[in-house]
Amino acid sequence: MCTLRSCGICFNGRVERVKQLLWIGLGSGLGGALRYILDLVAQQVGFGSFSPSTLVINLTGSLLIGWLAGHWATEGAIAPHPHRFHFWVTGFCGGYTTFSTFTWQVIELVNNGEGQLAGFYAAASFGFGLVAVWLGLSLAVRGRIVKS
Amino acid sequence: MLSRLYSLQNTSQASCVLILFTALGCALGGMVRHLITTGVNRMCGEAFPWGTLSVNVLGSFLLGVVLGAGLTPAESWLSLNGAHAFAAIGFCGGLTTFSTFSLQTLTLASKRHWGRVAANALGSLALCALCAVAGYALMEGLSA
Repeated sequence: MCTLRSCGICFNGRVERVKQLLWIGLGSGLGGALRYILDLVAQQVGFGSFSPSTLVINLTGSLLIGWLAGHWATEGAIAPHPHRFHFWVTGFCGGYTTFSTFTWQVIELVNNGEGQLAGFYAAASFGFGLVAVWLGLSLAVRGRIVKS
Repeated sequence: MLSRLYSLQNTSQASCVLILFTALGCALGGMVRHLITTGVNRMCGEAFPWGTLSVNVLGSFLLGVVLGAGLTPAESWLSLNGAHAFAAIGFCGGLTTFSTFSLQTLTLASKRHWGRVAANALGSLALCALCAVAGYALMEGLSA
């Protein structure tokens, strides 16, 4: 890759990549803020030591990413603008859902001697996560067929 | 800055500040995630979701480091809560992703690569848990 600022092609490519990164940052920031707000709401409701908010967040995020993927991948669909894809899929869904908090919850459960619950929690997250993505995909595809 | 945060304690303003800190950390984490996944995918190919696996492992390790360093939410110390919101909930949460992980696992399943599905799910959980514990132990050992 050339590093000439005067090189129009490469400079435009770099500008494009920075724009893409900013859209991802915006989506991810909004997704993370929503996740934090939902965590606060769950705390207000009070679920004791183990809050299911991360599970709900991860599953709804998986549902959304499945729906978006189906919505944009079905035949005859108008391809989204790349920035739109980056904002929603990489940014929003990626920032909204989290793997690190999930991992930490599993560790804490194991640490508290609730290994069985940890196993159930991990299995439920993975299993229902797959179901959620599949459900989102099917909903999007069905929506397309009904419309056309 | 920190003393002003301290005076905002227990108000709805405080929650707003924490939400903003989370959003900022999460935006940074999301951008770093994109850079790492595209880089790793370019190196390792797209047959297995190495990119998502690496950000999830890295994010879990960093969460272990952050919590091990003592950045846990404290009722009486809002600046600590701010740091926790920015680094743990924001940055580590934004760096890792569950939705892309699920989507990629389903894609592998639809291609009937059952071995890769199992390796992705169990490998992610095992590596992330191991690295989170390692990060926590590392920081605890350093501060002890």
